[in-house]
Amino acid sequence: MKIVKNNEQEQNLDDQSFETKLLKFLGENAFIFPETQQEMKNFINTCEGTALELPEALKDPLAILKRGIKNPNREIDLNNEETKTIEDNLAQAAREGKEIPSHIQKKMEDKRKTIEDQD
Amino acid sequence: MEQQKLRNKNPYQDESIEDLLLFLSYKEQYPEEYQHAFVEIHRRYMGFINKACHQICKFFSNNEEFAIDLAGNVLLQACQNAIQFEAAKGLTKTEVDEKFKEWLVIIAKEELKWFTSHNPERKNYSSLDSISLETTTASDDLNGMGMLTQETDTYPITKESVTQVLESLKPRERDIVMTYLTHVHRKNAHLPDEVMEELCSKYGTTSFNVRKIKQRAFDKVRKLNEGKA
Repeated sequence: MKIVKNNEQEQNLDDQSFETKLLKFLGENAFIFPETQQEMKNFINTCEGTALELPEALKDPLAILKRGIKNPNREIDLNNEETKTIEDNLAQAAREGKEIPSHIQKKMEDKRKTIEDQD
Repeated sequence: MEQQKLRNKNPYQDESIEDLLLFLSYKEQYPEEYQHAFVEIHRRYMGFINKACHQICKFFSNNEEFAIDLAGNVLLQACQNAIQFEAAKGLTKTEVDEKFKEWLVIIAKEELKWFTSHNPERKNYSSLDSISLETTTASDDLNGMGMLTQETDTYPITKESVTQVLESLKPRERDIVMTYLTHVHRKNAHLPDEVMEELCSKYGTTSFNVRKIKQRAFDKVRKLNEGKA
C-alpha cells in the first residue's frame, strides 16, 4: 500500500471525520465486516489468502448439527436494509411455501435408492 | 453406522450449490437429505467460514473460542436459512460460489452483532440490542464531504498502526472498541443511544468512559500515523 502523508490535511480533520475515515479504512482492510461490494471482495480475498487449519471443534459436521445454534431464541434477519446493500444481485428465493420442485424430489429419491442399494 | 456412512461417502458431493440449498430448504419433509446436504455444505465451505470468523474475531479477547462458536453458528444459520439464498440467474458456477460466500459473510456479520450484544454466557461481551445500520456506505459519506479523491490509498493509516494499537489495549478495552466497531453506523460514526446504554451497563461504566476508551484508541492510530507516538 502506498502511504503518502499529508499532515496539513490530517490536522484539519476533526475527530469525527478521522473516525469516519478510519472506519472506511477498517472496512477496506478486513478489520471489520464489509459494507460495500469492493470491501466484500477484499474481505473474501483476505480470508481465502489466510492459511488456517480447521480446529477440531469444527471438523465434524454432525457434531455441529447436534450442538445446534448457540443463543437459539431468535431468528436471524438476513433481509434487513443493511444486508440488502450487498445483496442487490441476489434474488430472494421464491421457494418458501411452495412444493418441492419435481427434479429435486426425483434426485432425492434416486439418491435415497442408491444409499439403500449400497446397504 | 449411519453417521460413518455420511462421513465417508456423501451422495450429494457432486450437486450444485443451488440444488444443495434446495435440499436444505425442505428439512421438515426430508430430514435425511437435509443431513446429507449439511455435510456437503460443511465440506465445501467450513474452511472459508472458519477463516472469515477468525479474521473478524482476532482482536476480541478469547478470540479462538469466539471464532469457533461464531463459525458453527454461521454454518447452521446458512443451512437453516437456505431458503433465503438464490443467486441471480445466468451466473457461472464460480460466480454463484462467490455469491454464496458473500452471503455467508453477511450471516457472519449478523451473528457477530448478536454475539456482541445478546450472549449471556459470554461475559466479555456486552448485552446490546441488535440494530440495523444505514444503507449508505462510508465511502459515499466521505465523497459527499469532499474528503476522498481518486487517491483513496494515500491517506496515512496503515494496517500495522491499527494492529499495533488494538493489540496494545487491555482485553476489556479491546472488547469495548471491537464491540463499538461492530455496531457503529459507519455513515456518520454514530453509535445509537440504546446500544451505548447497554454497552455501559455491560461493562459497568459510563458513556463518557466508553467514548474515552474508543477515542483514546483512535487517537493512538492517528498519532502513530502522524509519527508523533
